[in-house]
Amino acid sequence: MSETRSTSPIGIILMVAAAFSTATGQFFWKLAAGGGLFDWHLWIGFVFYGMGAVLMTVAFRFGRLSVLHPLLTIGYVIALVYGVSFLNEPISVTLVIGTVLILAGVWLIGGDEH
Amino acid sequence: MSINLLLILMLLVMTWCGAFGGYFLKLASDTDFKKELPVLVKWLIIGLLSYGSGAILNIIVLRYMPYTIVFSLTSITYIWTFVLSYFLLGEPITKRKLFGVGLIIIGAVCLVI
Repeated sequence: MSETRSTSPIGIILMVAAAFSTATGQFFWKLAAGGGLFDWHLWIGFVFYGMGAVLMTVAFRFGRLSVLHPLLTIGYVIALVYGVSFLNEPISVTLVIGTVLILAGVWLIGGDEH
Repeated sequence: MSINLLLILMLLVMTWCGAFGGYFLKLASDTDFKKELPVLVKWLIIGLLSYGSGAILNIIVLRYMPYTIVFSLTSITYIWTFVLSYFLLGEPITKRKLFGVGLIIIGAVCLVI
């Protein structure tokens, strides 16, 4: 079944959804940092992170691993928004440049025909 | 110092877990669930275990480093993804893809300086 297929837009959309879910999960883990195993943030984090893994697995049916897996970095932009808005992590010029470079890289890989 | 080295090692192993997790989940997604269900379940379990191990390392590392930095360093994962895609799945690694991952990594470096 592992014939070579070009990547379909469905795969890309599913990967963006997976990135969103994964970043949300990691955000909840950050909220749980320092808390114990019974911190509910930890478990909400697991739910979102797990959902991200499921979405990613489904997405992989619609294209190549080398195209789809790196698209998970889209989640960084979501993480940045969470970090700056809710965790008061500092924003700087290099942070913005870094984000733009990451998005450009994602665009190059996602738009690749192969 | 030794704590920092341990954190770097954990980050590295975390990226390997992520890349192998992705690879095994890709194998699962390419398996026909009507004809080869046991094979699919096998890849799914191996994939989720390695992906999950990466997640646990992620949680530990997050206790010692800022969220934005940890998340950006996970981009190293995609170097290993390219290696696995090329050697084990026979996928073409084009100049465009390499340039894209290069930009992602430079972007990630910008985030930590």
